[in-house]
Amino acid sequence: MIPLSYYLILSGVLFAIGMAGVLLRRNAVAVLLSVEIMLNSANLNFVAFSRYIAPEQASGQIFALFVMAVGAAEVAVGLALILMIYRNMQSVNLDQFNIFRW
Amino acid sequence: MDYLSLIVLLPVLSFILLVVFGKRLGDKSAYLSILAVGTAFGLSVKALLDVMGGARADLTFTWLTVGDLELTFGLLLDPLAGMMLVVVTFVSLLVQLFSVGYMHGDKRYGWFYACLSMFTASMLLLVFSPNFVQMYMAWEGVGLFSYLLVGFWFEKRSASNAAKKAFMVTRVGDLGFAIGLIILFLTAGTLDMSQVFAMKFAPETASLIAILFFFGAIGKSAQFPLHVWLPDAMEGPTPVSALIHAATMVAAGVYLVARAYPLFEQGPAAMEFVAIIGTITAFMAATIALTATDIKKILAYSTVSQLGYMMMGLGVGAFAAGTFHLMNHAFFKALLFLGAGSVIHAVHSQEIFDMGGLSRKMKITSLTFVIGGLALAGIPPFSGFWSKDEILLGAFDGGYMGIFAIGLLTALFTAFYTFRLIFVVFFGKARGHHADHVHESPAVMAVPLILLAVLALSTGLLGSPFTGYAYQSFILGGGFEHHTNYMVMGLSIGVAVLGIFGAWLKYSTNLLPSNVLSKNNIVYKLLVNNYYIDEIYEFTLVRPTHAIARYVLTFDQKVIDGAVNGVAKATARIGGGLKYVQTGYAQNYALVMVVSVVVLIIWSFRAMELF
Amino acid sequence: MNDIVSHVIFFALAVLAVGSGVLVVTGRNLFHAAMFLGLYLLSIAGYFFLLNADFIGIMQVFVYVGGVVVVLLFGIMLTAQLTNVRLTSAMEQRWVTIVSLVGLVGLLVFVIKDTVFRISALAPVEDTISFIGRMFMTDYILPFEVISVLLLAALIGAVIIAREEGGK
Repeated sequence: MIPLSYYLILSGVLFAIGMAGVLLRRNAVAVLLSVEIMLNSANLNFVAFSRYIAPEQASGQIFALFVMAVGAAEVAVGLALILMIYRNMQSVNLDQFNIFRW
Repeated sequence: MDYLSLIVLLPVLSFILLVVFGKRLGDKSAYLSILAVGTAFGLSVKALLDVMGGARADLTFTWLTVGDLELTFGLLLDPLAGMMLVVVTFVSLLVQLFSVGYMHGDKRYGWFYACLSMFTASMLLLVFSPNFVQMYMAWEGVGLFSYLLVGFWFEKRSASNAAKKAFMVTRVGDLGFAIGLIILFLTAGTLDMSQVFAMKFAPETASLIAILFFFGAIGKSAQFPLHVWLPDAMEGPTPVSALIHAATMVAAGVYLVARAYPLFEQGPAAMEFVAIIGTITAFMAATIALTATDIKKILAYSTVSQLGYMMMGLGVGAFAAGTFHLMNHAFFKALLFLGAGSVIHAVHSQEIFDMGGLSRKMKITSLTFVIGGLALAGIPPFSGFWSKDEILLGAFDGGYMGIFAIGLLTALFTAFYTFRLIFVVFFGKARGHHADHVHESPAVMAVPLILLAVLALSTGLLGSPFTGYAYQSFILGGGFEHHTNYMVMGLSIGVAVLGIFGAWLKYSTNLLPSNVLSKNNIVYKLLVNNYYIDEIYEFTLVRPTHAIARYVLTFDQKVIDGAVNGVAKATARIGGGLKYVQTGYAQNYALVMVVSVVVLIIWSFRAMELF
Repeated sequence: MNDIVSHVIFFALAVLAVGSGVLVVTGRNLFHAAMFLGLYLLSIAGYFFLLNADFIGIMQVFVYVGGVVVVLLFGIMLTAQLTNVRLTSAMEQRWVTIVSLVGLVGLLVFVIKDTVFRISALAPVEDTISFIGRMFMTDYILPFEVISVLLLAALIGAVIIAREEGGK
């Protein structure tokens, strides 16, 4: 069997990759893409744990299902917001959204 | 004896009502105040009669208890208090009557009468005090109302300055009084008079406390060296000068010494101190009055001098003589001041050389003024003679020859300056430009003058052989033996006559060469400038105090305000520096979160000693 | 499964996942980035199958690849910035980000390496579909209902937020 630690480290790396995208990308939609990467790495983590620690209970899988649902909802609402912003500011470049600046 | 509290409460009530309704009442304010004081006078007379009949009273009620100390409000009635009650209420009543004419048309009429009422109430409370705390409180009260009344015309800079000066100078004396109170309390454990007088003190302790109390009297009764406020206080309206600075408030110092006499008697050093200060004051003030030209200033210095006489009397042990002079002086000095007020009202000037020959047009004023002058100079049978003679007799009998001699010399000067004033103002030819429209004062101003003149004639006889020395027996509460010394009596009469004659020579006739005392004479300069005492104080006390005050002000503004403002500025600057954290980019904030999480994890790993 | 085969599959999928993830994050062309996201999601689905979570794997494909990626593509096309999407972020936080993320991963590795997990020897669930379905209807019924409400709210919310002004 593949050791559990491999899955965990992999999911950590994927999470870091996704986070890098969230922090560094300037386009709002690209940030959403990166958020999806993060969510999925977390899902991987859940399912891996569930398979190795308590396989007869599939609770990790169920939780991963919930994460998926919420993530989909979040993407929908997020894109709606981005569309509104685009309509008002003609741009989705995050560099330009600094109204709360000092 | 329940009516006693009314004597104090009626003027207080008048004050309160006048403060609230004074503006609306306008000229009618006087009636309310006069009614209150008049009733108080009536009750005081009743009290005096009761005391003469042997009644005494000592009512107290406690208003504050702190640990072992009980502070009480009380009303003490004994011969001394009875005498003072009548003096204070009667003079106050007459002054208020006089003011109806004198202050007519003033825009703050109601406030004037309110202050007069409350002043009277404070003075009465002082007279009634059975313990030193109440006395000190009333002491401060009269000082406050003296300030308010001297500065009544505060639109004039000189008046408000004079009021401040009066208050501050008496404050210096009050400090001594307060320290004396503290020491008394520490040694005796109580401030109730009857308890204190029953105790025995070591002579040094008694002297110390008594001298400290006397400092208060030096301030309030304008003795040397704190006399400087009284001449300046003449800026107040003349009725105020008559009431406060002739008859009542300045008498408070004498009253304090008289009240605390058992304490003074236990400290011979204090008695000597009182006598010496009194003598110096009497002499010095009389000499200054010789050269003054403002009628109120002459009377003011005369008051200082006569108060010195009273202290002299008390200091040499002549308790009856000192208090007797207090009573007589209250009446004839009030008379002289009100007479001066009448003159000023007519001539619209206060300089005696602007006046002249007023006796022709102002008969009542002149006559009463001359009567007052004779009383002041000490000519029998007028009142001043009897009491002044007793004081000199006391000094002579006590062996204080130096004091006796100076007292005689001062009496000479007193007669001289008094009649200098009278001859210049009332006789001779008219000098000023108002000579034509000078007229006698209205009845409301003339009647008090007449009443006081009657008293100036008669009160003296109370302490004379004609009444069997009734006053002395009364005030000492017992038998009184008088041994007449005809030499002393002759000397005092002779000295007074000499003074009057000298004034007549100089100012009524042209027999003396005009430069007997030329204006460039150094003695003259010294006297006219009041021995330069005010200037000395200015340089040694006032200027340094101002310098210190300026320094403290700068310190307060630069250092303290600077520190407070500095804190504000520092906060603003820190805020200005920190604001750059708010970049407005959500990704920056997210980065901060990530970095914080990593740091926290590393930190907690270190705490858990994982690495 | 044969051990070597599973290892090979694991590492192949790993390369695929990490590679497509990196390409998503660094893609200049947004459309390409979305495509690579789809690839990433598929590789994760592969992992699910590897972990005997076949139902989840299928759902991953349906929901994410089939739904979310499509929605994102719509979003990309509606905001019309396909090419020349520059990478560098505001305020030049590149290095700090990289350093801290590397640190984060390092910490995770450090923790995971030394942890002894209680690996269970039981067999995984065979019929995941019916098992999960039954779980939803019994033990997890409340979250199930709540999720439906959440999805309803998200649906309505998204419609309201994004509709034209003055429209119904």
